[in-house]
Amino acid sequence: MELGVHSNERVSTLYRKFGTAIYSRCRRLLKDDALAEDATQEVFVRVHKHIESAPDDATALAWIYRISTNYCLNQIRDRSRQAEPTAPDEMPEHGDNASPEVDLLDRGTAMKLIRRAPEKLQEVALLYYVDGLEQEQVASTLGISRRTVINRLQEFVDRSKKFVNREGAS
Amino acid sequence: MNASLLSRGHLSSEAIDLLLLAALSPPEANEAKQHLDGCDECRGRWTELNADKQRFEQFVFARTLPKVEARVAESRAGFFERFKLRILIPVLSVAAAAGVVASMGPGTQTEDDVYVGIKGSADASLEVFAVRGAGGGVFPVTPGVTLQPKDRIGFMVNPAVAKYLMVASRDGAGVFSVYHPFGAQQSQPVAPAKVKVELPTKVELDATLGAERVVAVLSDEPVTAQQVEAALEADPANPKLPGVRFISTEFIKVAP
Repeated sequence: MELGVHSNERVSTLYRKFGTAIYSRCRRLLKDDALAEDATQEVFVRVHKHIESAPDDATALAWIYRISTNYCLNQIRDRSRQAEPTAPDEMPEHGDNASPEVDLLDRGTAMKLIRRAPEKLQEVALLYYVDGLEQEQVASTLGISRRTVINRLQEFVDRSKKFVNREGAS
Repeated sequence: MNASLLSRGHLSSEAIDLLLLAALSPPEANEAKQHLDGCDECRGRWTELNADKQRFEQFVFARTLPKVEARVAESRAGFFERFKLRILIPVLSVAAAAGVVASMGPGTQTEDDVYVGIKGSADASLEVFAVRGAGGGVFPVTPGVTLQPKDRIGFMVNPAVAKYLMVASRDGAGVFSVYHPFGAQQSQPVAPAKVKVELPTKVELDATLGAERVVAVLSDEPVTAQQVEAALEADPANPKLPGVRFISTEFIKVAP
């Protein structure tokens, strides 16, 4: 049958198909079950707002990833404005021979540093270090040049190094 | 998925998610599984994501799907919603008083003997309503009402205490379709409501003419589209499945 389907139904279909992946992503970013559940719902409400530009189901996950990333990073930023100073045991640990760049290859460490990074660096760092995208893919996803991606990653590493050194000395 | 599965020697988050969702092609899935076998880091992430998936499917999905659908319905009022307060409710009230909604209309509700699954489901109901043309008014679809191609229909369902719902159709050519959740392979969780709720699904009718039967399928356990199709094929006017309650209505589709 040739049927037109209301956008609400498309969102329901996407939720049934990708809700679990987005919930998992929100849970990893927010590190809180209840917040992740709420965030997942908010993400799909936002999906509905932009449903006209949604790609087909084969590539929709990456698109919804982006929406969930923006939402969760905003949540993290909102929370960090009210956050207390980070406890020392939450800081990344660095041995004498380990450089921050090497440690950033660890997703957990990268996530802790991303939470403290400037807004413009967060998304690039998250896509690169946490999602494991290549620089070209990060550039394509964000609609920026690869050079910009490289610059922002370098800035992220430099800032993180200063942060770790400062916190490590305290 | 077009991009390479591996990025800097590891599976990307998207690749692992797609593997868990069984959304990779068979060759890609094989490649990803082979990598998992030899990569402790990726296998650890797969295990973590799989645990999230299990948690979501067991504890989160059924509770949140109705909330998402309700939020979506609220966030952007569709054409039915725009008319509902001014037109639909009065129209349906008149229709209900006349005993013409599907749950009340004579011959439109299937109280089959095999239904044993849902206690206290006497208030369950299905109402179909339609809009014709741009800016046309909403009218209830009652037994014998004629609709036309491109008319848009929507559904109000009281699931009562049922836990799973599907709205399906068998058109004049005998073609089976699942209208809600659209295209689903089985019925989906629904929050027991005991009140009528408007489903987010709106369907534009195609050009197939003749009698089309629409059924709400209510049950305590998931029912597959294949089971519902077979039941409608066997007896369109009185479909039966163990543990399932069918509420049905029929309309005639004619050329404009």
